[in-house]
Amino acid sequence: MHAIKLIIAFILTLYVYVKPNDRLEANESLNSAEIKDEKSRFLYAFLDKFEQLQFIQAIFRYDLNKTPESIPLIEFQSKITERNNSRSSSDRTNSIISQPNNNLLRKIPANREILVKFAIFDEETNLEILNPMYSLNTKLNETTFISNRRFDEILDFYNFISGIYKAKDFPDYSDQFPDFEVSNKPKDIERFLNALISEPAFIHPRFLDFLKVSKFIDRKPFLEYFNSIVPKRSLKLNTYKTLDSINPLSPSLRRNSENNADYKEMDESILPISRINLNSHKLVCFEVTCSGWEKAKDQTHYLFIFQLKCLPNQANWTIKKSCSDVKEFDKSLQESLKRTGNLFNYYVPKKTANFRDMDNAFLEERRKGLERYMKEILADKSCFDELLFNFIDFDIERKLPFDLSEDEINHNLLVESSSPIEFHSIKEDNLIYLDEPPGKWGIIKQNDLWSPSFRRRKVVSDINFNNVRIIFNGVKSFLIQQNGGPRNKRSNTINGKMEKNYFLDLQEMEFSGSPHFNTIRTVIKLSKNYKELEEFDRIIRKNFENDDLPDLPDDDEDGNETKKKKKWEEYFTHLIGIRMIEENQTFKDFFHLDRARNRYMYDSDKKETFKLDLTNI
Amino acid sequence: MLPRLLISSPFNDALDISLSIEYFFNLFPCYLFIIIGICRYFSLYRAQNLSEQDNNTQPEDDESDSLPSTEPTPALTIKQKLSYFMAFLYFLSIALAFLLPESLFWAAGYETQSFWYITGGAAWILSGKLIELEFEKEYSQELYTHQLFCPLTMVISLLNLLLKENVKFGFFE
Repeated sequence: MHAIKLIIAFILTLYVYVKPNDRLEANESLNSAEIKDEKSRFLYAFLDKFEQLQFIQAIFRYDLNKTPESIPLIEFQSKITERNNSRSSSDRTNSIISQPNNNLLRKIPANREILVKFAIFDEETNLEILNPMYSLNTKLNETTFISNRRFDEILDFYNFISGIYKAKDFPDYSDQFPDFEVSNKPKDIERFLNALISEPAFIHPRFLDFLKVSKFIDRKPFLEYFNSIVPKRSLKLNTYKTLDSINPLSPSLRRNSENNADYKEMDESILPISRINLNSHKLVCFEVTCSGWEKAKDQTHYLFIFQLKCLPNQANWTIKKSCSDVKEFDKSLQESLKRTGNLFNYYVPKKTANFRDMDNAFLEERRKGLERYMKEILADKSCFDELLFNFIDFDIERKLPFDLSEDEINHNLLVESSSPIEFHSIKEDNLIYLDEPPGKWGIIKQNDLWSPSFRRRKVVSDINFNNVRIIFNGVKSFLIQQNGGPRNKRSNTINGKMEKNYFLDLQEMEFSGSPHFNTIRTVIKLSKNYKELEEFDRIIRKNFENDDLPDLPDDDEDGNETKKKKKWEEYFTHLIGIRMIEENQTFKDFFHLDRARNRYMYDSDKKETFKLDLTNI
Repeated sequence: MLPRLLISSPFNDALDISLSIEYFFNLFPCYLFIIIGICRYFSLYRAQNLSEQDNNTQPEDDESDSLPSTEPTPALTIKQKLSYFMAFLYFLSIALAFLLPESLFWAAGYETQSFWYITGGAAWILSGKLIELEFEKEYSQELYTHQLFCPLTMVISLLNLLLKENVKFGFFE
């Protein structure tokens, strides 16, 4: 009894010391090979031999020489089987690096097929897809995975995958790759993807993600290729160093690991754009100028005239405030926001001793200071408070000044045609610039100006064109005043000219699980002349000759409203369905995408990830 | 009365020592392992997988470089099955203590005491389970668990083999 126990305990001791981590063994990671010194290398080889003994395999009921499932015969497969037949620790380290794991080959399901179709509905959201999408149906054994991809995404993926595998000595499928520049037919893509999936070496996590396979299953059908090349833990520590120390003569390895790093970076940057926190009052932004000053009625102080402009609807109005008013306002604002910085004292020069004899130069200095102060306050969204809106006589509900007549409202809404009605930000930079060195007007700490919410903001680019629809709101004629505004309406009616305007909305939808569009994320409201539309159509037609564009609807005087609407919406739906349309400069200009771009704000508290477009910052 | 008599006689002194050798000294690694192993088992049971822990710190790792195989390796199979076999040996000892005559099997003389072997069996079952759990959670065997337990068992078995004959011939006398 003790003899048996001795033998078993001896074997176990050997195993426990030489092969303590079974998971590392399972993944054939380089780490386990790395740890081994010369003595344990011998023991390792001994245990390997021990495992390969037929009677040991019979006793413990495992099979090392499992035959892989049928896969296309390719050149490197024979190499791998060779390697596995001559399994020994000495050549293991070298062979793992350049060749994929045999397990990987065996685990690709024999029944596999990818079908590519044009997709009309998004499976996840049940929404109609406005852009042409390719629905990739991947069948693995009996399960089907569907992923909808736009052509650009397929192109991106193609570039990525061909970039990686060209670096290695793997069979080149270039003959079978479709010429993406010319044709974008689903069949070509299907052929390409099927060629890819039949090749075990190409089963890259990116590929699985692309097919949306990895999300649904535990990834068991595929063993990862890169896992055998760059083990996780060594990657974490110091990948290149350890890999080089193991095999300095493997340039392909280094290239692969670099590719892998590239992949990571790419992967981070293509994370989906998601929600934007839409607070209606945060969409408002102001322009302010201090045009001058005048003496108050009681002749005791001066009133400064501020001309304000609200950007969403271009409303104009003026307010008159004395310097002390502004100072009081600043004090209460700082209190309500619980801040310590004294912006007012920084910008606005203090009274001199002989107050009575305020000269123009001093007033001018004050005017400049007040203007800069107001600009700073109105640019900082964290200052947007009832206090501020009351101070500038602004009704945030209507997004209009308080005392504005209806005529003026109409004027404000219509006079600025062909411009986006909603802007998405105020400030282009997150920094508050201190132009002049502080000192003269007191010292201000930059930290005081930095509210935490201000610092958290990031810039988001791009409208997601999968969820965009353009709505034709109708045609309206209205008077264009040649001189003066609507205030002089009566006197100038004869000089006025009637003009027809087309009202369009470009709406980007955001949805949260429900089958219907939930909220509008971005709205760009436009009013255009028919001439402008014609010009736009002409240029678009020139650029996208290959696509069958529908005709521009006629400029009918009297027509059925619903029919007209349908025609226009069909036209625009087809338009935004064109691949790369959002990158066309004419299209961008027409819908003012450039102006809206890079100006969305979001709260990083939501833990959303965004695509950052750093080119314009 | 009986224990006192047993202890007082010179014959029984030697017996007492051999009993304590068999059930305390020989099973000492098992007692130790039961305590340490249970601690280790439950600490691992609650712990996250190693790879998941890595993912928490570097989420992009998951996307790029991990598809851990969950298929048991030959090493794991051997370790686990040997552990269970050791446990089986202990349970077999209990059975043999009841079945075999004293002349063939030493423990047969002390049937009730042979139940101490249960601890040995339990320790080895725990060892097998722990190896499985360590594989699941991607941990390796530790110095204070298996790497202590197995060699200790080996040394004690060796000592037993060497000394057993001497005990019979009154080595301790």
